[in-house]
Amino acid sequence: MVLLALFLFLGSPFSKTEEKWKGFDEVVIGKIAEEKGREPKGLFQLEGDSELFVFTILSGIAGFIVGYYWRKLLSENKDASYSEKRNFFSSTGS
Amino acid sequence: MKERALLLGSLIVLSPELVYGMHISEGILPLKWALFWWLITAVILGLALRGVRNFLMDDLQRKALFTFVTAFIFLISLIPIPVPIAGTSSHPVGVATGVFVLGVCGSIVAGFIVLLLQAFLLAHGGLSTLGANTLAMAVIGSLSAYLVILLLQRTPFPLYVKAFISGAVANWATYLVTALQLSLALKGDEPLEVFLIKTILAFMPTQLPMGIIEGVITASVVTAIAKKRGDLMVSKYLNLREGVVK
Repeated sequence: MVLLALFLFLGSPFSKTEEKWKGFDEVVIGKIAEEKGREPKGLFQLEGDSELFVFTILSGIAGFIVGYYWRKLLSENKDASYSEKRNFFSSTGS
Repeated sequence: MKERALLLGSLIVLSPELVYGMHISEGILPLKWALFWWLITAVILGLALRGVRNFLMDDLQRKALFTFVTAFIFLISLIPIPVPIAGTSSHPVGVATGVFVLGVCGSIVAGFIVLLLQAFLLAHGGLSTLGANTLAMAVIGSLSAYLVILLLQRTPFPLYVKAFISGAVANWATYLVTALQLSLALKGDEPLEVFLIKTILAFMPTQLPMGIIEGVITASVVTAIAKKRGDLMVSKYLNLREGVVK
């Protein structure tokens, strides 16, 4: 958990402060494709900060789900018996 | 525990750098190759869906587990990790963790859902290339992790070593298949093996360290889950002997 958090933490500031940290597909896959005359194109274009907005919201939602179920499955339910677990998840509708 | 969840959530929100990773973008693969990879993926996905249905019906708690792992793979495959040697960023694939917890079928389906959501919501990857991306990340990534678990079944290595190797191999296998897909589609008049080697060499500076990072992440998460709830590890769904993940 700590290592995961550390990697998450390191990922952000490094990428922001250094322009060179471009995505692998842009630098490598995109370049290979362009050399062969295949232009990468997105399904749709998220203009300006809307891309950042969507990315942040989705990451936040995914992070919430991971945190929620981590707590429900791995902490609160740690010592519960099998039948108790079934009852718990049945009653919460999961 | 609440603090951990809050810490994780905060870091995710504070890490909004847009990520681009292994996904082959829309337009890169010619239509015939896109359809070819879609066809193979559709067959495998059909089989995996049947498997995961049985897996989920067996225990209600596993539905929550499936949601957890899918969200985890979605999240982990959106995180751009700078690779100092290469000066580029890439992301883990996360499916090895899925294999340990959901089994191969569950991991394949979870990986497909993740790639589908990323294509529709973030234009990350593409619809025509979804078959190729699913085959590389979800299918081959999961199968290679499973293969590693099988091979290490009788070895005395502790769980974190097994998880580390399976995570690293899943990452490298994913990118090997991506390199092959690109080479087959884009080689033109060049011999396949020459173009493939050139592509793999271009991938290596980023993906070799990335595989090691993925191994560390997989080992951390799998070990943490096993310590807290060893019963969630699905050795019987992996068709392995009891205790393989211990």
